[in-house]
Amino acid sequence: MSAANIHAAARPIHGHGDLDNATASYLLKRVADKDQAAFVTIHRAMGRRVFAYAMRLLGDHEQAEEVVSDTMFEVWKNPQRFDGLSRFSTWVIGIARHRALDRMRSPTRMIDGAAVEIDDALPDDGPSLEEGVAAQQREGSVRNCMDKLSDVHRECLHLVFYEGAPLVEVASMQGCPENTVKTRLFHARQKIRNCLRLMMISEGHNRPKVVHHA
Amino acid sequence: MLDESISALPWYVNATLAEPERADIARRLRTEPALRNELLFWEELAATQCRHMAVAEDIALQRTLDRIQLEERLQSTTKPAGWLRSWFAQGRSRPMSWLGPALAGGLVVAVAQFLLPDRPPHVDTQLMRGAPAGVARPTTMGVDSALLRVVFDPATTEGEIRLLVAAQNASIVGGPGAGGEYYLAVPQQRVIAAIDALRTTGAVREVAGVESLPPTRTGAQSN
Repeated sequence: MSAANIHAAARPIHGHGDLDNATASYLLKRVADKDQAAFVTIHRAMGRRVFAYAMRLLGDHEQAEEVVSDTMFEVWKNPQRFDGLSRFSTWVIGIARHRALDRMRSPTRMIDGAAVEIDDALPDDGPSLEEGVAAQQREGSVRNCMDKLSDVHRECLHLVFYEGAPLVEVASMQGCPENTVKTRLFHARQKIRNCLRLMMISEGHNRPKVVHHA
Repeated sequence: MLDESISALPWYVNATLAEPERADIARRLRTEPALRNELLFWEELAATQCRHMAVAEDIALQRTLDRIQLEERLQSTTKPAGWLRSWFAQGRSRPMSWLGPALAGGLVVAVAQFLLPDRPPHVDTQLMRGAPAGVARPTTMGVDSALLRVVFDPATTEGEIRLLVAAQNASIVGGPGAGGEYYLAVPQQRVIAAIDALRTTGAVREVAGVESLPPTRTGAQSN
């Protein structure tokens, strides 16, 4: 996969307007001159995305807002650090990542926020995913299972599907080889599938029996 | 070893694959139902990932702008006044340029010693409402200090709070208040770094710069 092709094709798939690098560079130059209007434009373009990313990792609204503020404050203080080699959004999310990780490393969070890990080696003899789960419950179940993934798996899914990041950028942001990213997604997929199966089995056991009278 | 096409499906979904790879997967999808099922699963995850994130456009904007304004205020107070800078700048170009400032400084010291009474300078200290005696006695706040209002996580112990405060070269000048808030005096030049550091400890719920201590509630210290 060539980096040039990746950058040409890269686009966020979440529907938010993306700041292209040329516009971002222009705005950052104005930010370097302490132009608050330019900064507000950047904040409005990126704030929600940083929040979504931090929320996915931290699961706490207040802390996620603080990550947004910390990240954008860093953009305000050091706009010249954007070198244009990556997408602007990747640069900003990279800053947010450090800020979020700082919070995740805090002792209180490590105790309170221990993720419930799902086994990804469940035998494949349960009910199939395509049967049993009503459509309206399905999305909630998928969301629940995604929330139970480890931090690194949740982050990986977010970067790929919410940020629309190419493989090379996900690997760069997560600081690992591209194959590791692929393996992480493979395991995330397995864990979600198994989590859904466990939910279906559990719901089957708890469902009240319907007695049909002749 | 993962099947290359299966492992590349997430990027097929987010449309960031290079064209040869994308075309290869598209061709296989036409003939392989198993691969199509995988694709449906990833598409479902992608759709779920993108939903449930309706967030206001201005999320945290005001908070960030407040920080910027605080920083600018602090920078303007720590820089010497314009007339002072220009006076010193002019002085540097004159012969014996040190003489003017030295004489002026000496004069100020002499006058101050003559005028001021022989007692320690008055420092305005204040006990915060609801502050139990002995928990957080108010300390002094110098003229080159900034004031921070900090709400710690309720699980944070007093010892941890003191360690965090000390690590920022700060001192507690008030609190805890009714809402569990403390007021810290922080050296002006360290205030931004202190806010950043406190925010990232995980033991702090809120931290913000404030202009002054809140007024003492009448009768708060009587019981």
